Amino acid sequence: MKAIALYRRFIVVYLKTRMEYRLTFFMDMFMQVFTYVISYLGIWIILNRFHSINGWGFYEVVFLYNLNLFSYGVSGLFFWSPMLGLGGMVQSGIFDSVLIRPMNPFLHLISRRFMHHFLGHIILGAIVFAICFKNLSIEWTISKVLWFSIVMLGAVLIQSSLMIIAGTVSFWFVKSSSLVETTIYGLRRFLDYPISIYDKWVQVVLTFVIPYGFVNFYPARLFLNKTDGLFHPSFGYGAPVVGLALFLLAYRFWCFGIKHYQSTGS
Amino acid sequence: MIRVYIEFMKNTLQSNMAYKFNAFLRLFSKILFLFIQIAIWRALFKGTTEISTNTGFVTLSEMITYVIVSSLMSVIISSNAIGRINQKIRSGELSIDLIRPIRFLTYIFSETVGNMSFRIMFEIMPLLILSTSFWSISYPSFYNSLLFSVALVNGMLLYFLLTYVIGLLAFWYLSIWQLDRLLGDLIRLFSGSFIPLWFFPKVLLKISNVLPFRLIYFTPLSIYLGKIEYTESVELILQQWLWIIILFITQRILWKKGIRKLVIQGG
Repeated sequence: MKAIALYRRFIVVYLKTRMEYRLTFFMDMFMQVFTYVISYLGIWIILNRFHSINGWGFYEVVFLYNLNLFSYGVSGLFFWSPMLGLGGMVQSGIFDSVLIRPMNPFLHLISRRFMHHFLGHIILGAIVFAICFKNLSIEWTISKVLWFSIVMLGAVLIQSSLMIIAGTVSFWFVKSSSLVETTIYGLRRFLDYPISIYDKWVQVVLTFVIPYGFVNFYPARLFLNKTDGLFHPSFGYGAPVVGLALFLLAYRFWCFGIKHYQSTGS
Repeated sequence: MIRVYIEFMKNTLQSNMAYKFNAFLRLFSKILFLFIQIAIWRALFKGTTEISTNTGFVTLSEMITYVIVSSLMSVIISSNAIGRINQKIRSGELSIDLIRPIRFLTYIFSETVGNMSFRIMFEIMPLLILSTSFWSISYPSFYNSLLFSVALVNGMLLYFLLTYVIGLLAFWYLSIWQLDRLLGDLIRLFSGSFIPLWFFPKVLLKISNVLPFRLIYFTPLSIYLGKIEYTESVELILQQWLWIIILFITQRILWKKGIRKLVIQGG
């Protein structure tokens, strides 16, 4: 497909330019990773002292946290810059030049920048997964491996959808991209620990309103055979479905936002 | 002379009014984070009333107080010095500041105090009202509140000087935001603002004791909750002063070196 070949070229060019500033390239990734290492240290301190939270032990919480981290990293790689930098692009006029091109603006924006910073998330996430799997007793059958990949894809879709929605909203209110970023960061923090620690209504919101619960809690519960939380274990299977549905919704929303922009003829 | 500094403080205060929205956002995310933290501690304390720490016992209600007071403190303990200094050096504004008959340190500090006054007015009160309506906090004894106030002011000064010293490194280092972030992460963990040092394993406790960060949050908070004896409180306050002096001297040295570099380069 032409689009994929085109995309690959974009990425190669982008990476080449970035590698020229090699030190900055690696420092960018290192800084991202360091923040998360500190976060993992925090989890270690707490679970070293308390041994478990709601029945979840250290490696289980790390697994949970890592699902969030990894899917966020993959989503951010593609969607962070085009979505959350949209406000700036509108102001500087770059966005108009994107709209003029004979290419789907959504795809173009995604390929314009490849946020290599997130590679740090992904590498760290992969390492942490390896450590977790060594220390958790999960029997890996072929179906489980397959299922893990599908669930991960679902989680990535959910994270991306929320980034797209956030980007669209900030696009309308150019000045308040901080509102949106705050909401994303703030809400993601809810996922640091199993959401069963929260009141019932919070769990409901995190399942049905802003389905972040499907990013890490429900899938992890399935893999680790846990029984806490409000809803049936089968919710663990919901991630890909929710992800797909949300992504389509987000894309629709984004297109609607763009059309609105064009019609106001800024 | 003092009037000039007050003018600077007022200026910063006024321009801050325009950022009311951001203040609301900060408030909102602080409440959200409080919510999360308290849920975490509730879950950790499930079934037990008291947890033993490396210095005694602590109850769930004490942890809730800890978390809320820490959040309130974070409103005061903030500084944009790193960004400000970096901006001034990069843009060349610094040369103008050098001509002014005002010491740069005091200038940046006045700005910080101006920002802080705004936040105290618009963030602490709502945060206090909201958090006390959702949860209950305990209050310290008379002497402990005095000691707490001293420790809090010291913590704020300590934090400011840390950011100022890092900010001065912008004379030499281009991507100062990386150090800013590094500092932020280290403080997040080792200051005790999120996890009290009572729960730290020996290894991390040793590291923490060498660093000044615990003196910013953990020391005032421990005093507030009455977890340490008066003599130890005084000792810790002296340690705070020691670090403040060390950082003050460091900043003087860095400033002199930095200005020399700037002048030589014709900046």
